[in-house]
Amino acid sequence: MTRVITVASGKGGVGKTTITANLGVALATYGEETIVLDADVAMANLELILGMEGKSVTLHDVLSGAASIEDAIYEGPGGVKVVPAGISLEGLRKVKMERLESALEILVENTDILLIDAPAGLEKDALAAIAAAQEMILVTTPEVPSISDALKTKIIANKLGVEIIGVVINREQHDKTFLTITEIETILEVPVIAVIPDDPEVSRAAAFGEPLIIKNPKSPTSNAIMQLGADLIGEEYQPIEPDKKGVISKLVEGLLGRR
Amino acid sequence: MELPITRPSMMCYADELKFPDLLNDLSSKKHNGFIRITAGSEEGFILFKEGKEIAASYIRYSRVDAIEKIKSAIEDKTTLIEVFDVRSNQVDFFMDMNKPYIIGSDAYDLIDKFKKPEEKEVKPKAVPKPKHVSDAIKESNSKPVAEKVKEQAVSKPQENIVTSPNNTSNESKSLTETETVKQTVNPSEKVKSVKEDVPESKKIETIKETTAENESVADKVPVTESVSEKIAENESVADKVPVTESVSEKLAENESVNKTISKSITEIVEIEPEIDESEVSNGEPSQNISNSPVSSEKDTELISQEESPKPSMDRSELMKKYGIKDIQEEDVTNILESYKGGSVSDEDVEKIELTLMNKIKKSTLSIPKIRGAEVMVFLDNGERLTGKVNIIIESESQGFLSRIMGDSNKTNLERQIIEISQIEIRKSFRKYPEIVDFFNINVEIS
Repeated sequence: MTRVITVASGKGGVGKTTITANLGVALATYGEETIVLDADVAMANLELILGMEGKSVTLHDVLSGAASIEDAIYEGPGGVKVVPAGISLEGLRKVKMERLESALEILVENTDILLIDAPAGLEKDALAAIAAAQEMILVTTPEVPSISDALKTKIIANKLGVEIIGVVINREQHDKTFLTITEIETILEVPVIAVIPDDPEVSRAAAFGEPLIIKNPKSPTSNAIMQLGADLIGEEYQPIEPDKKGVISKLVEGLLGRR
Repeated sequence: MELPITRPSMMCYADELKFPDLLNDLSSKKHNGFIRITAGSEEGFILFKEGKEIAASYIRYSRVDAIEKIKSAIEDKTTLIEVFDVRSNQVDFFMDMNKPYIIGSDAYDLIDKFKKPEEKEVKPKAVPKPKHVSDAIKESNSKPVAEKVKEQAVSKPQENIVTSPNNTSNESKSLTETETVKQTVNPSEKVKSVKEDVPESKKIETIKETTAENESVADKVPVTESVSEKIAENESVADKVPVTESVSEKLAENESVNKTISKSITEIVEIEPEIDESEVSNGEPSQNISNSPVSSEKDTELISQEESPKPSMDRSELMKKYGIKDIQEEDVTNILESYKGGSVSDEDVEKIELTLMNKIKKSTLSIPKIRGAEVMVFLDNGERLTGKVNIIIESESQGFLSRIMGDSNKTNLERQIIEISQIEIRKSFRKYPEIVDFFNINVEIS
């Protein structure tokens, strides 16, 4: 049976799309038939992170009734399938979120996991993305506003009968001004399933339009997301240790073109 | 006022603290910074210099008026109060920037009045200073045991982790005790095992030392907070504060501190002598503790007093600390209603039909060329609310020129009427204007 998992946060800018994109790639590398759907039709960024912008048919077209969902599925990095939302705002007025449900019915037919990148907030589009799923991953940063919004999202999701798998704490900085894991668990009453460190590599990977777990699989963030993916499907994951080669040997390898 | 909004040092809703107490507290601390009061879309500020209120604004009001407005705003329990800290040298700069808001002596009279009645209320609320288990145990004959174990304790992990002794405060002591009591109540099975050679006082001191570092946080606690709140705050901060330099990662460090505390607590629990299980299950920890060879009857009283903060309170304390509120049931319903587009009962349908009918008719008749209009609205409350609007128009007899012009005038009029009808529908469903797409509007002009 297909698992439909929404990645939601409440607050915008907490790294939801980055986590969804990379988690989708991670699940695909474990051999799961995974589709990542960008339900953030107003602020679509998933395709930028995965380097898939400019696709002819997008979720915009599907939700405005101009195309079928099958035409909006594209092969992404690492074997993950992607339904981009479409960056253009032209079709946004015609978008009807009611059509999302019927589109998802088709998507789940040949898929193991459908990951939905939900929009921020609790507007109609966000609620449609949450209600469409059976399970939800709550993404938050360890800051008060983010936790506050995550709490609201959690309560609404509970009301909609969505099971919350857990909380992913993104951009953990080991800074005592932020909330601790225990505090976040206590406030949200949901277990923390992953802690992703603040990592400049994430921005670099996004700039290259490449998922971090492919661009830099040894980074702590990649390891954390791979571990999260493994936990979701009950797999074992052995973290990849960063290179311990010396600077000189790296330089020599670089000069010899052995990278 | 123009002030820099950064991370607030304190944030809470108006019903969570007494505002005059906050003012008094900031005065006593010689606070440099400002308070922001947010009530709905209205915003107010009070700027402090060395604890003294120097400027105030509330929306377009300033000085005394602003203070009065703030006073009434904080009566609303949903008003958000935030305290921001700034450096003393910055305050002068902000004063220059906000000269029109600098308050005079008349405002101070008002502020003093504002503060005084609340000060009276605070006094009876003052929490009696609790006596501590650790002190009580120290008083008892535990010295030989403590000395005996000093050497053993060195090798224990908690001793490695916990540093900074000799710095205990009353608050951290009370945390120690409360934690001890809480944990003592829960593991009823462990209570059975007796280890008489365990260093009771030493271990309690260990926890005390662990929590002592949280003293600085106590400064942030609002004056009116109860001891239990402070305890909870210290507990939560204990997770955050790095208490050792030996562990590299703070995450691991926090865990280790937690473990240290819990381990120590467990061990303290383990020293409890044989106790009737039924007593434990009945939730009478005071009795259990009174049976301890190292505690006196005095301790029993103290512990039973301090037992009151329940572990379940932790979440609410945390929420209060960070100014986070649970979303209300009513709000959830409203949000979900908006998602569904709002639900309409059958009784409402007729009312909506009638309202729309009248509104559209009235608007249509405002077009000069129209002599009469008949509007019929039929709503279908099925899967979603849809409707059909039939408008029959009797227009003024056309002149000769108009007849030659043909249908263009008629088409224009028809378009005008449809637009007017759509506007009326949108106005009637302000929260759900897209409903207009589900209305079929027919116009017949005779």
